[in-house]
Amino acid sequence: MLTWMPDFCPSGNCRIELDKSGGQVDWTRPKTFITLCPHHQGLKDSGLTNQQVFDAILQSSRVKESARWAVKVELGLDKEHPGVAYRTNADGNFTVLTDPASLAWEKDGQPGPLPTIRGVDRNRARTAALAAVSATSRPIGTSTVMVE
Amino acid sequence: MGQALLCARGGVTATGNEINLFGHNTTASAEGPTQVSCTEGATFSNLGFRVYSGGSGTNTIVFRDAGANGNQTVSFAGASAGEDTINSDVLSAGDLFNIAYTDTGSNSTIAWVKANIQFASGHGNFHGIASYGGVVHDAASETRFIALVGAHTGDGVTTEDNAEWKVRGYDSFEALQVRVTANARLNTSTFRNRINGADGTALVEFATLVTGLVSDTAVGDAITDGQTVNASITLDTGVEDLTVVFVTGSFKSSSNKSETWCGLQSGRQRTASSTANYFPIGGFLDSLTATNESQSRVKVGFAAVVSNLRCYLSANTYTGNGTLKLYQNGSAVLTTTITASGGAAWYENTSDTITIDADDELSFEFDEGTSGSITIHSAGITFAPVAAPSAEGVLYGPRNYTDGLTSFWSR
Repeated sequence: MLTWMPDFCPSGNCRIELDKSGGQVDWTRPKTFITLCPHHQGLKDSGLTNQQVFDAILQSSRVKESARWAVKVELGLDKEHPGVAYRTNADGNFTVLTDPASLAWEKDGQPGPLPTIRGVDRNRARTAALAAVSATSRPIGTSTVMVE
Repeated sequence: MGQALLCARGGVTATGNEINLFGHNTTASAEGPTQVSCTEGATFSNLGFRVYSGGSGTNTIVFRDAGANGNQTVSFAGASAGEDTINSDVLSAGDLFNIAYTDTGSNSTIAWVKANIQFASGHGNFHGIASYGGVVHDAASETRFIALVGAHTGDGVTTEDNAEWKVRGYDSFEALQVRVTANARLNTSTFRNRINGADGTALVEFATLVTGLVSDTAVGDAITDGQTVNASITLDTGVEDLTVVFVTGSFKSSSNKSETWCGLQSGRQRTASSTANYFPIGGFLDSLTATNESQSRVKVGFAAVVSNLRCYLSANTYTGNGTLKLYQNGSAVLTTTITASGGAAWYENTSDTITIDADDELSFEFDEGTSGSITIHSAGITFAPVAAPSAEGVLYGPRNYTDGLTSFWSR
């Protein structure tokens, strides 16, 4: 049984069974929702179909990751930096964090390298992230992304 | 059914850090990345850990069940060790678990974190690689290999032998799970279980820009004695990041056996020396001098027959024989000879066994070699159940106790 548990639900966890056949996982539709977090259950309760809820969860991951990668590239973070920090707000929307404290990371037990990050760099990263989000499909229920 | 041992190597750990019972060399400051799915219903008990430096205040670990405090808690002051011998936590299949650390003083450097696990159905254990801060994979259009032990290193390894573990105790690969915390890949990334250098049937995929925990359970791939296990990752085109926190496998044994091993897929080089080096029996194969023997000792928590002391070396240019020894309560009890100039190979003692009880503490020692060096990727042992004693008692082999007494008789 193949299950996906997204890591960006605002509280609780969604747990989604996906179909695995022919040596591939079908990421286009849910087989079953084993559990839905309160936020995504709310989407379903508002009248969305299972497919629409699944699409909303999947595309929420994609807008978030598009934005995080755009920020990493634009700020010139180290290749080994594990990923730009973000938080999931109570309403399910994302805030991507670009301040140096939030970008701190560990390499070989020591603080990993960070470039100098000025206000102008953060503005540039914000623009790049929002452009990446704009280029991503956002069906009904998809979370929004704000870049701080 | 019976118990098995989960054991992780620790690192510098600050209050509020989250870890788990696999790996590892980096911690996480949030709980989510460290949460592993308990793919089998199981009871966790005998949670314990050792701090070998720092930890000037009171140091505490708590077993976390689905994001809430479980029953097991271990707390002590300063550089010491402790165990919760009273409480246990019963998890259903699919529950998430991890370990939360807090302290009231300086950061602790942890030698090991361990617990016992008993599956609700059948006998087995979880084994995995982890770095809870996450490591980046971005090797385009390649398949790389990942060990199921120790510290996760970016991009895996290109030589599968270096990631493999030779199985003596398990006969079924039951599940594979992977947690990804950042994914900028524009195509699907694929993880598979590997048995003896070939794909198993477990398949964990992350679609474009998808993060979270993906588990493939009820796999049931057969493993025969002496076959190897590990995982693989295949990335498609593009150099975007995939940040992986852990890869774990679930294993079962129809003969009630289990295993523990420590390792580092990228290898730990040891230059020949008459000064011995010691490691805990599970988790990350840290630097040679990080812990001494007493700091490396881990209480196994169940009686067992211990066998097949073995290691995999990707290089061996020792000019004289080296040794891998199993220590029981501070004394060497099993020896595997690392034959001089043996090259890349498994080195295994297939003939000698010892019997331990639940309170015995074990560690590994690498020693000797004259000159030259070895590169160590894994070292471990197999646990088999002890035959039930007769009503009159049972004669055990010589046992060494920390008080210096030796006994041959136990009931």
